[in-house]
Amino acid sequence: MSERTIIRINHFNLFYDQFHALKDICLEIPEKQVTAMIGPSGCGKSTLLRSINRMNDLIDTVRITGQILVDDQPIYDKGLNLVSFRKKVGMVFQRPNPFPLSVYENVAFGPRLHMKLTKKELHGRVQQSLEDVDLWSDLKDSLDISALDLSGEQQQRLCIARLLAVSPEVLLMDEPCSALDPNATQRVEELIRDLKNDYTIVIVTHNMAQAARVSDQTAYFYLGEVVEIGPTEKIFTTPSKKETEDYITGRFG
Amino acid sequence: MSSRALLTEKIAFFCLLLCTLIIVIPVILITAVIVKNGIAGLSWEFLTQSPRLGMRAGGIFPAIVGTVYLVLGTMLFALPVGILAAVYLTEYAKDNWLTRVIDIAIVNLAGVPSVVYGLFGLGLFVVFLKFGASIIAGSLTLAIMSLPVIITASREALNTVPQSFREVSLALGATRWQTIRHVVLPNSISGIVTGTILALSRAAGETAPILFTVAAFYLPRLPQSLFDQCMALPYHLYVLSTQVPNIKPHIQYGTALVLVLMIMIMNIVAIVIRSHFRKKKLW
Repeated sequence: MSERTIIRINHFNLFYDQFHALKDICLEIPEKQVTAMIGPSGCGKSTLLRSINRMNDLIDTVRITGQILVDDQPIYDKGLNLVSFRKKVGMVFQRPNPFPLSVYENVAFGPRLHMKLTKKELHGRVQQSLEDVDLWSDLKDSLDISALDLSGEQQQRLCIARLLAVSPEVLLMDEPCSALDPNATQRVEELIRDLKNDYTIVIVTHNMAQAARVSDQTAYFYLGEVVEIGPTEKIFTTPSKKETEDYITGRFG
Repeated sequence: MSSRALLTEKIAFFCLLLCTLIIVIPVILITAVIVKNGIAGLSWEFLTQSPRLGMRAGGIFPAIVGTVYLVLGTMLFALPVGILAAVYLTEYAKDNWLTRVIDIAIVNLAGVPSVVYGLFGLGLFVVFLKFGASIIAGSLTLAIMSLPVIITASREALNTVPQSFREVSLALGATRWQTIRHVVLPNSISGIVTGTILALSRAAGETAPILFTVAAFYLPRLPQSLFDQCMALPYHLYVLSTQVPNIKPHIQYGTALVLVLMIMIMNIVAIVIRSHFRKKKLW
């Protein structure tokens, strides 16, 4: 297992107007592992996730200090090429959100923007991406049906495939299973464990059992601060802080 | 439920129904009167010939053509400006004083009486820019009048596109413009088109803005260029109703019927487009 740090968060602060949402966050995220961010609602874990691919740029009132480095590149520097950066750091959202297009067009969306591919190459890329999320065998004969006609689980897999098609290095997942039933959740978790062989994954989740099942490293957030971070096994068995223990044992949160 | 509450309920229901019916009655009456008096005037000659005998006979062909030209001209000017402005305001503009000033300007533009647009068009396009009374001056005047409606309708349509679509597109490395071009516009175009058609159908029926800027009292030949005057249905109707003594009513009502039908067709097209896209259920 590689231990190279791919994302380095240095004294990162984020404000919505006057509200101090993230306080002096310092975190290191190792390559090709799953890092889970847990904590009660409003603790800032999703905000941090959205900061890692600069999705918070869309909100006018956000101010930040500190820095986040991806591959040693400071992502809040003015000179950053935002487009190629966002390609490298992809995001899966809470609710599956395929475009109202066909299955094929959803996956082809990214490659069409970024790569000059022949029809055959594009098809190969779509097939590879769908294979990577175990959708190909189910959907290879119905690539032209609307993505909206798929089940919730298939939609979420499709959204992941759409992301894989632009060859990212990091996958940010914002509660990717919260709209799915338990069986679908289990299968998507299996997918996440498979994907970490090739991708670095950061997952925000409300579901502590999920964090315990899928992640290698867990960070516990509370009120915009990282309370504790460490190997998942340690956090869930012998946390070093009392607040963490209270949360994971269900006494709090 | 006590009998008193039941009675109140019934009275309330009756009042609500009555008010709703009051909206429908004038629509039915207007349509009925125009159709009853105008249907006799409708004929192939009426639609395809020029007016004759001081507009007491013949048809209204030049006025129909003029109105079509004005609607097309209005669309040509108002559509790109309106849609692009709406895209800027929803997708790019930050919430600052400039945006707020623009917002207020749009609201006020929508509240300006149409006769003021007419005078404005006369001053700016006809006199100052020396277009003369012409199709281009009339179209520009109608375009400015239509802009607030088109912008507002387009902004509403753009706002119905889920924010998550934009985020996904950006997260896939698309630029803002690529996101607008490939995600936002395709998913809002039906609303934009519908709103635009409704704005244009209103422009088609306006008299005051074209009064000083383009409309000809009587011009039996068709316009040859953008800088020609033309006849137009709403103004022609006004002329027939007030300036031509001893005219047969079926000519007046026939003209009104044609105008109403044109506008109705535009509105039906808008409704068909909207229901077509709604059936496809985009998200």
